[in-house]
Amino acid sequence: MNFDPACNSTAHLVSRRTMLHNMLAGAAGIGVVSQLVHPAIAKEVEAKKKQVLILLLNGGLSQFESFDPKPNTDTGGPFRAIPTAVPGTHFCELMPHTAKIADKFAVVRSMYAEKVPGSHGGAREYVVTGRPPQQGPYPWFGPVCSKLLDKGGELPGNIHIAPSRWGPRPDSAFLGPRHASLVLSGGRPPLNVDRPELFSKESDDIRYRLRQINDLRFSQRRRTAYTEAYQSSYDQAARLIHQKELFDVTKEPQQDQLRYGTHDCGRHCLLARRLLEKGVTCVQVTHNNYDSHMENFNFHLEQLGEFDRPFATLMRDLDERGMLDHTLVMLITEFGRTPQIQPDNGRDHWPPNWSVVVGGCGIQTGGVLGATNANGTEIADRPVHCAEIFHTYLKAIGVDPKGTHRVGGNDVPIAAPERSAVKELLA
Amino acid sequence: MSEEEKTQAKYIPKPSGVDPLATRLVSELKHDRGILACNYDPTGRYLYAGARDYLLHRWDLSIEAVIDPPPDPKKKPRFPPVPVAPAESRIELAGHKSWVSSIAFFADGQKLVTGDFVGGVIVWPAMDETPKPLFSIEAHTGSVRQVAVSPDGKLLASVGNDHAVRVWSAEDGSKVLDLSGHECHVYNTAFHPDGKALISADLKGNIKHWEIPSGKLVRKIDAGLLHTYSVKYTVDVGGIRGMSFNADGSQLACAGSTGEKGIAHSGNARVLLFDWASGKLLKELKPEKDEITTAWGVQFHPDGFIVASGGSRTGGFLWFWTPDNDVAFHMLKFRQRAPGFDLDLSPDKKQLAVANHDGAVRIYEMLPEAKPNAEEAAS
Repeated sequence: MNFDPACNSTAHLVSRRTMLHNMLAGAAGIGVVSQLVHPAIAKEVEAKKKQVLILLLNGGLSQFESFDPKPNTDTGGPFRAIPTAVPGTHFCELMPHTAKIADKFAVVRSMYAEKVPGSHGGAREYVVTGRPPQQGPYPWFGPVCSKLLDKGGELPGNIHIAPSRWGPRPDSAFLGPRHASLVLSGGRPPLNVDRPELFSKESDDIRYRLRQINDLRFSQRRRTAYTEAYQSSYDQAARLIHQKELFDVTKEPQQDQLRYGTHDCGRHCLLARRLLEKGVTCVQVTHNNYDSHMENFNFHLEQLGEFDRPFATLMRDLDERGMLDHTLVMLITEFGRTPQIQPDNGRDHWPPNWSVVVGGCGIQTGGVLGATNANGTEIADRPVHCAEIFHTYLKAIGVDPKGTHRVGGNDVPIAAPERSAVKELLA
Repeated sequence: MSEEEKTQAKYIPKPSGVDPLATRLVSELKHDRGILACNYDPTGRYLYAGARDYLLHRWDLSIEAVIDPPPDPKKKPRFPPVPVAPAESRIELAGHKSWVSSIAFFADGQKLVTGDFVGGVIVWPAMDETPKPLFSIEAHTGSVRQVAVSPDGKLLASVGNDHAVRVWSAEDGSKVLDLSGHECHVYNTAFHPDGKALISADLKGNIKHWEIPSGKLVRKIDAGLLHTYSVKYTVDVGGIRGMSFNADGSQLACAGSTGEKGIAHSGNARVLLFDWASGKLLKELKPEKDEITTAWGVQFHPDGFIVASGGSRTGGFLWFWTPDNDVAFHMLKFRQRAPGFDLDLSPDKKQLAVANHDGAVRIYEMLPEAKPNAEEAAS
């Protein structure tokens, strides 16, 4: 797939549908050449640097065992509801630390989407792009933030602190590889960022400049997605060589390491704080193993037992440092879990309703938006579509969700144009 | 395989007349929530159950189960209708603050102890018309997974998700021993029939033998076959779900599953049979054909066979073994696609009660069905 990204002749203008189809058929993981963001959007986000923290509870967090407990009902599970810092609002007892900071975010208990794919990958793509994956691929929210908010420089714009075995994904779609997540698998620093001893710094710098000159000459005549990906990966590697301490969470005070916990989730949340403090635009932390088709209660006990304290500690730290003023916090999951308890004490996938948390960046905090019925089988009040919350995230970081990305000479809406932001959540 | 299609089996009934090959469903005790635990009282009049609600349930088995509505002679159901215990045979006992996970009876049958998913333990008078808690214990942080009563009725034991093993006075609920050493959820506990030992068993298949009354750790027994660490999902799968001593205490059976099938799915049902004196594994008891299941409950029958209940969303099962053969000589697949969790033998050892996921305790009889006499057949 070769085309000239700078050429705006009608011969090269492709329809949005054709373009997306081409991307799907193209080289996996590479995407197409990134384009300039629409000038109006660029101006809009210049004012103040916003940052984003995404916490993905991967596998499908049970709303019953977290933010929408239904104790002593036929669907409710064995755990109790506990009061939170917000009078009248209760969470499941598996989240005691989060309950104490409930005034620092808003809970949406009425998330839904239609035609959500049964697969985790498809459903996840829906919630992080705000569009059905069948229409995609569209860029995930992290790459969107990297594109719209990041001002370049030494730091990567979009870092994903992921579980082990989680590798790079083509999450930037048409925004191009420069904005794809830098994945820290297992929370470990990127591999091979040390300069080989074979090369002195001086000779390495000369080699790098020579490669840049060659790349520039080549790309002036034959710029393609592949060449951009090639250049981009070298540039990123070069930046990381100078930044490798950025990923070393042991540089944080010992006391903080203990406060967050020494398990992976604790280290990952502390690393997220470190990266945000250093100025990374978008940081995602993924915590795994919520796909509890069997032993839902044991699994949520274990997983939330890990997640609860570091998450609450991270929120407190961001708040105390004044960072929540300009940092949007999104706690997301791909769908909820069934009200019905399955034969193996599990809960299956449940897209009709689930819960998310959002805070910072001027989001109205300390409340609950939407509600489910008495035993959580359906939404009873204020449904919020996952495309609407996507619009809301954009509004909170100062981006007009009705704006467009400029791609191949076309305007592609940043968010689903038929939806709009949730006004109740915005200040 | 349906209830009517039984495996080829070899078992010669003992003088008791109990024949596992003749096991059949004879009545249902129905509720609207999944049943997790069930126990007969030692007289056989009552059956107590814990369910996915905050209540302890008691059925009076002296009230006859009925087929209601009467069968329609024009219809031929796939299975013959089963008598159901009438609503008035069940009472609900309040006191717990979460699901009731476990039940154990005192040997004299006058009291029982129950544990719940939020750390509560309650002792009840078993035979009162409407039992009310005698006392409660805030026993654990998190779920109580199992409770046990010492053979002399003086001590209670409880284990839980807080990794703790605790022994209490059965008289007033005061703490007698706090036994530490497990490093993961403790799923099961039982007193040895001689009363001189308590065992506790955890998610990772570690069994600890504690001396009673001193609380000294005597030894560890390895039932790690019932645990798998999933490298792919970085989670522990399995654990010792059911546990039982035989009558003279010479053997210990531990139920669970081995391996894993996908995220957090159990592997294949297994019962491990240990020699108590040496702690050695005697047999790894398995079904004739492996299915993705967990064995949740296990009991020794005085006639010398071992019975376990279990299942998964693929269905529920009873398996029967003799101690000298590691393959089940008989398996009964339930009519309903619901696993059997806990199981208990009736005091006369002729019936089995199984706690089912789909909201029923089902009673199975292990006796050949009485053939109608000529007069009845003619009518």
